[in-house]
Amino acid sequence: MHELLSIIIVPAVAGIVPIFVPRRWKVVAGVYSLAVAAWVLLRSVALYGGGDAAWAKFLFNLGGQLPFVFGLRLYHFSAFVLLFVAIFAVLSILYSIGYLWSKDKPSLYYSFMLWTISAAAGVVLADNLLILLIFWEILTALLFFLTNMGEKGHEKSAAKAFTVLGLSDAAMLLGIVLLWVTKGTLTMSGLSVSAGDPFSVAAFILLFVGAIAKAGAMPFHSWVPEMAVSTPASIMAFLPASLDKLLGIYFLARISLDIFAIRAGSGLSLMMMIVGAATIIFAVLMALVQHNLKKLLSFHAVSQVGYMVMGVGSGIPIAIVGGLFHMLNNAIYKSGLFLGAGAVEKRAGTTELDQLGGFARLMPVTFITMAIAALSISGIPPMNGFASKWLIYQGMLEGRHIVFLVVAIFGSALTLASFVKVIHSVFLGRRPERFAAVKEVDFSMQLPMIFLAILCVLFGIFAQYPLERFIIPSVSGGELVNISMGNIATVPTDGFWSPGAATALIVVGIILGLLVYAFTGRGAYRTDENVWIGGNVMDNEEIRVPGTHFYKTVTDDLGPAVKTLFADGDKGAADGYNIIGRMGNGVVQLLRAIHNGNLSTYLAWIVIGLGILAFMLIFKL
Amino acid sequence: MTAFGYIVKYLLFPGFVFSAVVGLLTTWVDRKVTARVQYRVGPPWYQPFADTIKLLGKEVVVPAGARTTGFLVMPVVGLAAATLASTILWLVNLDPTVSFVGDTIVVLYIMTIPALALIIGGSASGNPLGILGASREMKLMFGYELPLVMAVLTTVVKVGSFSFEKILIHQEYNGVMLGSVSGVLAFIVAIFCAQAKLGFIPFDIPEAETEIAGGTHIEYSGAPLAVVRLNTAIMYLVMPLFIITMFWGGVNFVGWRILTSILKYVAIVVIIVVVKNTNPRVRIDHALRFFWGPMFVLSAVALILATLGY
Repeated sequence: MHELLSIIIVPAVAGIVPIFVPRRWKVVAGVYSLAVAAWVLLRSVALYGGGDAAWAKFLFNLGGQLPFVFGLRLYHFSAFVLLFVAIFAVLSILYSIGYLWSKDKPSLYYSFMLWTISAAAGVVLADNLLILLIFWEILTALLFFLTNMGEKGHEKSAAKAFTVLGLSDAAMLLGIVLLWVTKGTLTMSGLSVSAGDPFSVAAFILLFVGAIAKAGAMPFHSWVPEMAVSTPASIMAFLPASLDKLLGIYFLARISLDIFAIRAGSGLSLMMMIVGAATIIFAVLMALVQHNLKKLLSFHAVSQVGYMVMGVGSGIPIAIVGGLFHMLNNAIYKSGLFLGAGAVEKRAGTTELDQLGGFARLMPVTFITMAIAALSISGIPPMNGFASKWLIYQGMLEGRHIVFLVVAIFGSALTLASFVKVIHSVFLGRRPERFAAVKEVDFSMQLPMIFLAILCVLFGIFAQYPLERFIIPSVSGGELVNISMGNIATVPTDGFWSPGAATALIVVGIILGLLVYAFTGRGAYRTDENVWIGGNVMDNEEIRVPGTHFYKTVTDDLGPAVKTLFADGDKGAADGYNIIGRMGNGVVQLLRAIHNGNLSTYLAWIVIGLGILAFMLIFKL
Repeated sequence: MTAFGYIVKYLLFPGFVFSAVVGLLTTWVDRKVTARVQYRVGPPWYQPFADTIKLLGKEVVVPAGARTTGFLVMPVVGLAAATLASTILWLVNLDPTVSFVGDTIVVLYIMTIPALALIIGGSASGNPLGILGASREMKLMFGYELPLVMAVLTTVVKVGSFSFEKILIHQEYNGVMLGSVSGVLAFIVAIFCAQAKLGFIPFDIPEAETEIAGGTHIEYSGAPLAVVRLNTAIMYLVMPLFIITMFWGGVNFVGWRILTSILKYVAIVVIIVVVKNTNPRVRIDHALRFFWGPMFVLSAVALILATLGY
């Protein structure tokens, strides 16, 4: 079997085994799946180092004239995405083993995980748009099944995810058919469309809808927050947080840079940047007021997509590099955050922010890894999130897109604000008495979180390395040269900031400050004084302040416009699913009003219908 | 520059020691002027130094129920970041040809770390008033961050680059930003934002001594309190310096420019002190409305004028 084909087929076949493992032995299924995922990882490392490869098999002639080829193609960009898909798969499965230990879930879970790996590899390697779409649809179906394994309320969220993604997949199919009709080929590497005529613009927009719905940008975002609370954290970390971002943005980059070659300053580029900017700002505003940790994180999973769409859509080389780097960074810190949320959920039994508090001492590893990821997503230097946002800012300035620049920077400040709320509510704050005996999660669950946190720091301090190794060759070496890039390999490196020096100096400063502590006041401190407020010493439960109302001023006191925005936000702002749902309901209500069960009404309808028919027949309309 | 050279610059000149001394002297000027405004004599020049040294020797009390490590480490993190911002700004001002560590965006982000450290410290203190202060500080931060970023971008757009080096050289040859309409508007916005960033009246809402008894600072004592104070002192140096760099051609120690540099710095400090002494504290929602209302409009106008070339 060809090496590209094997990476799709092996996990698909191997995924059959866990079906037959009894529920109480699901650990065995987990370890087995971990081994399969590790094999995929090893293979993708080898493929990554092995250079370009391709495999194709002629299947049949579509419609009697179009040769339909099952084509797979590996080049730098797809190899790099495949590598990270495999890394996240290994981490998620490792985490799942501990996470599902005491939960009543079938071993089938691991089958779905393995099939997801297989389908994701198919999407990344496919060189034929229709083949890509088939794997894409399989992913949607698998997401539906995995979501359905969640806690209370999973039916609703699984249905919503399936509806939104299914409809956007249908849009993609339409776009692909348009391309096929106008261009006569579906092979991605051979397809080059200048988005000038209305047909190509329509095709691009349809494909764009598919890409951003998968990545979770507005207005097709609402399935992510909907599923956040009921779905297991391991699934959230694997699918919406990392895999769907990687694949969605991978496809977006392929269509906008490679197939359609959207130029900077064109109308489509502007449209993409507007979608990006709106996603950044509205999703982060929603995140600010959430009361549930997982739901809050899911709104950030939406918000961050905005940076990627903005960067890739701008058509400016340095911003494209930044957007793709942000895709990678976001997958890293966002899945780290969801894994941390899962750890808290496992030990506390809830992710409601106002019931948590003081977990920093109880779960130090979870706290430190989540704090690092939170700093990364807020773009605090020297973490990785800052490095990629910095590149996007530079690109926005270069293109003189000042409004988008302001939105991007301000969105980052709001992100920080909502993570201050998380850090306070979950980890600092005061601890409710009932959590006194909570312990850190098992090492198998800590390991993925530690690994991701270390990546956050390393990709920030040594940002040059991932940029030169993964991102820049993907853009300049492969297909994406369609666009007139200039000398992209030198753009980000010229005048790049020195995170290494900054970090070293901050660390020197911190060490020095701690030394000052140690040598003054004899380094001792007392902790036996109770907090004393307004003349009273109060007990712990009385003075617990959860962070859920940190930003009440913003939502309540700033006038009716802001208030309306947030009121709608709780139900899902600008949520196409709800709006279409309301319209559909309207139609149904109208039909219900007609079907009132009165024989005379039905007779009247029949008579009217006959009348119209007779009229049309007589006058030969 | 060698690693050792970096560390010496960071710790001694123009980093920690220099910034702390100048910053503490600035707080003395502030206290003295305030005292004179209120018909008091005011402290002698060495008072801030004496306060700091005394605090370093005092006992440290951490309240029961606080998250000790976070509570104690955070002031130090803030101090390290403030010092880094100061070092970057000084080095690029003293020699604009040497680009050190980073550009405007980097400094803008590093300058948020001291505030963030205070927020986390207040949140870890376990005191409801500290937590209240932390939430106010955060709200204030995203209040002023938007106009501040837009004010800074006014210069950036005009120069066409984020790099300090280019901003300084541009002002050297084309006249300072304050000479243009957009520059003046952005400068006004930046001064108000500096007031909020330093936590001074009318925006001392997170500390609000008379109302929430120090807010984020409430539980700090001894050496950590000294560090918190040093933090404020260094930021008192960093913010005016940042504004001078962005809008007023920077500072320099060569020849007669040493005099103008000091005058620029003193002028900005005096503006800040005067605003501080002639205003009452506003409420947090007022502050947010102020920054997202008039300040936003002003900075937007400045930004639009800058893109048009005025």
